[in-house]
Amino acid sequence: MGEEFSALIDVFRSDSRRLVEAIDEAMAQNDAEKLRHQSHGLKGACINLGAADLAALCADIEAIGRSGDCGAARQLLAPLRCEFEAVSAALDSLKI
Amino acid sequence: MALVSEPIRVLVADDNRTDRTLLSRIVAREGHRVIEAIDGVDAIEKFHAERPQIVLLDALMPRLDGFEVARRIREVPGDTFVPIIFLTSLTEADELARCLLAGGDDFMSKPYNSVILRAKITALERMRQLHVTMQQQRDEIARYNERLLREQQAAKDIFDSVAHSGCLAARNIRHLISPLAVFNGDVVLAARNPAGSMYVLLGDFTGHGLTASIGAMPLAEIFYGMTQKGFLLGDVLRECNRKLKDILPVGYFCCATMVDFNFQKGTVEVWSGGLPDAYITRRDGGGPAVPVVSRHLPLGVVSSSRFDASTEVFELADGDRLLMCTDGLLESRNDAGEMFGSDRMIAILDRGCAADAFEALKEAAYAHMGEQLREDDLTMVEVTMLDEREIDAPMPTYVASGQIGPRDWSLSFELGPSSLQEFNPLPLLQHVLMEVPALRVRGGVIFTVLSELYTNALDHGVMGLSSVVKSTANGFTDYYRRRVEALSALVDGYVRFEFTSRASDSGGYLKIRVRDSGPGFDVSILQAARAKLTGAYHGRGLSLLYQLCDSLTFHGVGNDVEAEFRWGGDGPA
Amino acid sequence: MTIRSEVSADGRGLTIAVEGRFDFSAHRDFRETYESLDTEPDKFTVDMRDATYLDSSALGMLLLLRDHAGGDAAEVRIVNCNPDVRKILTISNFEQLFEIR
Repeated sequence: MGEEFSALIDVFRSDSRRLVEAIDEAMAQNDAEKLRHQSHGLKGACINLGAADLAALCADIEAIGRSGDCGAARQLLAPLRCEFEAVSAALDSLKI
Repeated sequence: MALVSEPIRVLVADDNRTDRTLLSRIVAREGHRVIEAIDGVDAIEKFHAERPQIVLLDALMPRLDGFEVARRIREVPGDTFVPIIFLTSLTEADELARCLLAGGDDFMSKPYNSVILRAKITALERMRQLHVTMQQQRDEIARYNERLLREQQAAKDIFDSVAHSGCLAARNIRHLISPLAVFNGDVVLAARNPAGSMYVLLGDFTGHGLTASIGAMPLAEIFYGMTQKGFLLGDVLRECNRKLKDILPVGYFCCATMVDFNFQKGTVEVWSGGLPDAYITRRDGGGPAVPVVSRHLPLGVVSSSRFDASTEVFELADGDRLLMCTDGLLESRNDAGEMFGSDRMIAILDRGCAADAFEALKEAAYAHMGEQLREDDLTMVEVTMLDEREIDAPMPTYVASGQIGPRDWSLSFELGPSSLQEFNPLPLLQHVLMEVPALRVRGGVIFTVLSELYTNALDHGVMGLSSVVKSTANGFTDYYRRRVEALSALVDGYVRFEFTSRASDSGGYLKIRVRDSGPGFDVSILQAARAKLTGAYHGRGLSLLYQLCDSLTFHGVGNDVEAEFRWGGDGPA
Repeated sequence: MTIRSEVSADGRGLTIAVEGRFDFSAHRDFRETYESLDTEPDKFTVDMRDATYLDSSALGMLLLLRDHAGGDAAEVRIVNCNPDVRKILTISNFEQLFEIR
């Protein structure tokens, strides 16, 4: 995919970083609906780029968001950030 | 993998930039034009502005989710079909089903797979093009149908003006022709002949439509033309059959009943081919209805050489009626699918009140059909025997070629046995006589006299039939049967006409002398009978002649009779 | 409506069996039975055993068959008519053109 792929990775990185922050925000605001929505969005992008572990974490957060209890999701925030950085680094290494 | 041949416009609506970018790239790589929308509201706006041909729609989006977007796209009026593919990371079956229920045509799960997406776009584009083709065909059919209906209406107008015409408004005719059917192929014609008889024809063409109207034209033309000129029922039918056989394709024909109401004699002569039984109903409970059965093949089936124009004669008293119908009446069905049938018809006719039978039958048929009137195919005609003076239908009028016409002429015309069997000379002779302007106003009278003289000469003279039979019960029926037998057995004899006419500006005369090969009769008995004013010797025919002619003279042994018409003041001495 | 047909072993006879309502919807099938043959039968039989009704277009089809079979020289039999079918054939006086049994 060459250049297009690099551009796509850049889009993923910036957009997903925004989504990770939004998830953090939703947890802080105790906004379950927002939590569910943002984690669902990030999950989709992760599935598309093959980031299976990150997608699984998003799915867990989405499920908690659906249950309405934001507190339970807090403990997943650190693993989410950690995994996101790992994915970003991995994608960077695929760039030409 | 077959690619969509033409590039199309594809709307990609997804709030997630990564997914949207990825998908847009895949679609663009296929050569299509991509329109991106960042959420549901944006998707609707772009849909209206850009008119995409396929929509790829994320299910969950802020402001307006994909389900709502799909619903609104489907609500856009117009015939255009725009396929929608839902994009989803949803995996539960009922969530996926919801995408389709909301108006999606397919869905696409993450991770996106370019091969599958390409296949889906190709499949949906094929569907869209099929839809476009169908739409075009539907519009074409609608246009075609509209044109067809317009043409049918025009054809029906022409058909109606030809097929339901003549003296149908006469006092003694009642008829019902279904107003709903654009075309049922039913024809009703009525006209008087020069002798004052009334010919009525009820016809039912197969192939309700154009064939019916094509056949109805010549049928009506022949019917009116030949009736007016004084041709016999059989002559008219033979010509109708010949013409229809010529023009209609094999398998198309016209079931018909044709009748000659002779008000002077109180008889009806019937030919019926292929129509259901007609019925004679008697005035004031004069007995049960008498069926008149179809004896012949319909018109237009066999060639002239095989055509059988033989007729039946029935006697009718004033007030007796003949009721004819097409099979539409008998085959009309009620809600249960049951046909009206001849039993119901006979039951109504046998109730005994002939005057009300027509209306009663009509009401019963409508009641039977109830809401099924779309099948409406009812055609009925009823003709009543009346005193001739009460008949209000006009007699034929004569138009001749010249104003002056022949003024001093004579004509001799003799028919031998085979001519007597096959040929009816009256229309020809009448045609000649009507060239004399002064005779045209008396055309009907002259034709009546001519036909009475001819009938007397042929029946009583040449064939020696006795008119006494006529006065017995079923007399006319027996008489006509014997007449047919005698005519077919005829081997010698003749009837000779001699016409002499003179005319000037002030007046003129016509002498018609008819001589036959028969033995004649004792004229003195006739003269004695006339002196006593009984007027009954030779039946109604002869007393009629005395009334109609200015003079009537028998010569020799009575096989030679001379009738004379005078006008103005210039008659012969 | 169903139309079935069978050519006799010697190829000289064709039997056409009509089932149900014999009306315009049978037109194409009926014609095909005798127009699509390799042989040229000279005896035709229309079996009405299972025919419930016929209308005027069915009469027209019978005339077409008769025409195909040689017109006045044709040998066409109509057999096993129920009373309703028989009545319609009688009103039209088709016994003058067909052998009806």
